[in-house]
Amino acid sequence: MYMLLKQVESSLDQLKALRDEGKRMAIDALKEFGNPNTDPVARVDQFLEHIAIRPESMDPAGVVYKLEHILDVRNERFLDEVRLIAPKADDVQLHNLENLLEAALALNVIYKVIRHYYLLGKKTLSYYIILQLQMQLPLVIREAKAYAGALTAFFHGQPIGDGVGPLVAAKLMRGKEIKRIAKDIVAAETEIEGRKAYVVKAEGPGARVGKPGDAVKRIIEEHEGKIAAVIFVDAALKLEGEKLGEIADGVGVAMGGPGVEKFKVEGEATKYGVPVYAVIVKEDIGDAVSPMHKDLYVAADNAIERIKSIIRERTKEGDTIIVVGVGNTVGIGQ
Amino acid sequence: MTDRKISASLLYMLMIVSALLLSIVTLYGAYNAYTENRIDEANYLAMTGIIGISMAVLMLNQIRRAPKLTLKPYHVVTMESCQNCDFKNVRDFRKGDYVFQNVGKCPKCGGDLLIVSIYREEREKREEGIF
Repeated sequence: MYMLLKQVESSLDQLKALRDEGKRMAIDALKEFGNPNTDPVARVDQFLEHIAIRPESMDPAGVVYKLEHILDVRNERFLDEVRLIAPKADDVQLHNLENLLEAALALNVIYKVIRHYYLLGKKTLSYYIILQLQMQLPLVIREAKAYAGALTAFFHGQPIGDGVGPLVAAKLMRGKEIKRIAKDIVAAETEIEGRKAYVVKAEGPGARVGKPGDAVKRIIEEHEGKIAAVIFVDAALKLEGEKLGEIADGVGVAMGGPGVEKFKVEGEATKYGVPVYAVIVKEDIGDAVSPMHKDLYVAADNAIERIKSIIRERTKEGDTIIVVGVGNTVGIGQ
Repeated sequence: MTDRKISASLLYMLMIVSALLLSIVTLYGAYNAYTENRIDEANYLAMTGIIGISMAVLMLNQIRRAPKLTLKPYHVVTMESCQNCDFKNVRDFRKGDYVFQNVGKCPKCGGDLLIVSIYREEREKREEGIF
């Protein structure tokens, strides 16, 4: 028991160091980019304790839109908070700072949850609480290190591994007229393999994911459901033993996050019977949130080839299709 | 709080060191018993001594502090490429760089110079083990 406690204590020290580093970096960034009139420390401390309460799901009808509303309010609140702390930050910096603070918040939550169970186990002298904690700690530390990697990326505005979807979309829409079609989402009309293609991504280079579900829904409705295929490109967590940047394809909506956007696309695709395909680029959590690895640029080109092959095999010339690059577009323009 | 922590660790270390010393004494006893031809007793003491030493070493190994976690900054580079010719330039990332940013004219042909990739140069060396 003593040995287990020592091990957990030692890991807790590491998590605390990461949490403190996140906080320090957030404060430095706010001072550097925002030139705030007041010291941001107290505001950052308050921000790191922010909570979002999920809607009640005893009666699940409509719960997705309730969740969307809560998330919208949360995002607006975060942006307002950053605007207040860093009034001179421009739009790109604003979104980068918001994401940086979110990563710092995640590190704070991880540290506090682990500390809670450590103290609970110590207080109750429960061998099983401590044992469970000790068994899970290597994975928790791994995740915390990944978030720590994200701090530097958001601090400098560098592309992260999760941005491989927007990178693919940006390559496909390069040189075309770009329009904003939903919140933080841009689209361009282009031609791929003789098909009319709408390419959709979050608006870069600020750290945004936007609402791709709304964008896809809008395009499908504008075409009264006459869409031959919707293809999603996203980064997906690889299993141990799989190679970074490996491409896989299949069917379904490849989209992470809380599920609101995925729900909208699935509803719309089902309503009009639009086939939905997915192309995923495999990477681990560390690669997904830290500055983009060189291999992922090669993977982006491979993903484009896979998309073209799906288009050739599953649609006819003259059809209209949608390609969506899902992910955080930090450091990636269009 | 810290004093209590230190004294608890010290007590635990003392217990392990005592167990280690006792095990060594037991092994010495085993040696004596062997030289006096008390084979059964020697075997018994040797086994006890070896188990004691192994357990003490294992416990010492398990309570050692985890290596300090350090955040090494990634070396991130920006690759610029000309849209007209094969000119390419790789340089250190500068704040404000982003992929598909137009960064001026190509020094070779005067075409548009774009940032085509921003990536970390090599994989961060993973730290082995947490404990």
